[in-house]
Amino acid sequence: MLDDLRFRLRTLCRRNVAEDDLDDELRFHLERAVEQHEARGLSAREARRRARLEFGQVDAIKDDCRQSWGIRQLDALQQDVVHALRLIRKHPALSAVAAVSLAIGIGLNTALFALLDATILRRLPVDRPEQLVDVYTSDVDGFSWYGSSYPDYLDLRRGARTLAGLVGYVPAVGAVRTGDRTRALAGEAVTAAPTCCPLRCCSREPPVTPVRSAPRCRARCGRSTRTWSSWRA
Amino acid sequence: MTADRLDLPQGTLELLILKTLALEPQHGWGISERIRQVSREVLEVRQGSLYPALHRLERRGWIAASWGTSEHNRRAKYYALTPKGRRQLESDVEAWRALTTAVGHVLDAG
Repeated sequence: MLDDLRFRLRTLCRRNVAEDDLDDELRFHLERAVEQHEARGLSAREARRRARLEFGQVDAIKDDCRQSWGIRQLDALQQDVVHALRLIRKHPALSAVAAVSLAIGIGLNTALFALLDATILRRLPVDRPEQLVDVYTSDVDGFSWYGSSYPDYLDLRRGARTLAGLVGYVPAVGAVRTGDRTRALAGEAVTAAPTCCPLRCCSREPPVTPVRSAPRCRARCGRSTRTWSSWRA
Repeated sequence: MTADRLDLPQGTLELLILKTLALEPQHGWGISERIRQVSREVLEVRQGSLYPALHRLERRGWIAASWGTSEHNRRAKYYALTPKGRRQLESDVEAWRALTTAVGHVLDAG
């Protein structure tokens, strides 16, 4: 692998030398073949003709050798870069617009992926994320994702058979004081997690971790009971 | 290909080059001549295959090239087997012997 890379780089950097060496190498072979035919009694002209015939298409052989060097792609890349630089210098405004368009496109894609990753793809930082379920209330039309009332939550928790525990949460905005500064932060207020609940593992986190996205917040509830009373009310 | 002369089966050229260079460093012409002579003029190495193969082996680090002076006092590119190439040769010879033995068994079967 390393030998291969070294060979390619050396050939690419000393392209002219490699080409000259290839010419010399093939010429040497051809001359030896001519000498051999002459030694067998052929005239110089006939010996050269026969040697060339046996040798085949020199250009085709050279091309195959170049292919063996493995620099075709690097060569093409180098040509593309040179061509691109030339175009940038010739049309700077157009190039700038293209670069900005690309930057915006890439930025948007990255932001979208980051959002998707944070909300859907990334596993929650708890012990058994696959066991976490969301309990919600549906209306008569089957529309889901309605929140439940606190009495419903208490009933569900009391009657839960298939769940190890139940935790309630509600979006909350609060003031957090750090030193002599107070900041308003958006987060979620969460009831205390039972000891058997997978969410319990995140008790390593600070008791209250205001975060922006709901799933992360749910995972980081820990022993947070900061706005328990406000949610209950 | 003449009636009594064979082209090399695919994949064997590199093995023959490595074997030839195991004896001593040699230039392309010398390699093709040696293979022809040792095979009693049965195997013919075409230049169109020989030189790309040599450059491919050099790229893999199995042989190393350097310029020297030939027996006719001319500048020639000599190839020598590297330690990595020697290991490759041993492994290839083993694989080749296993293959020919197996093929022989099949052909000799009643």
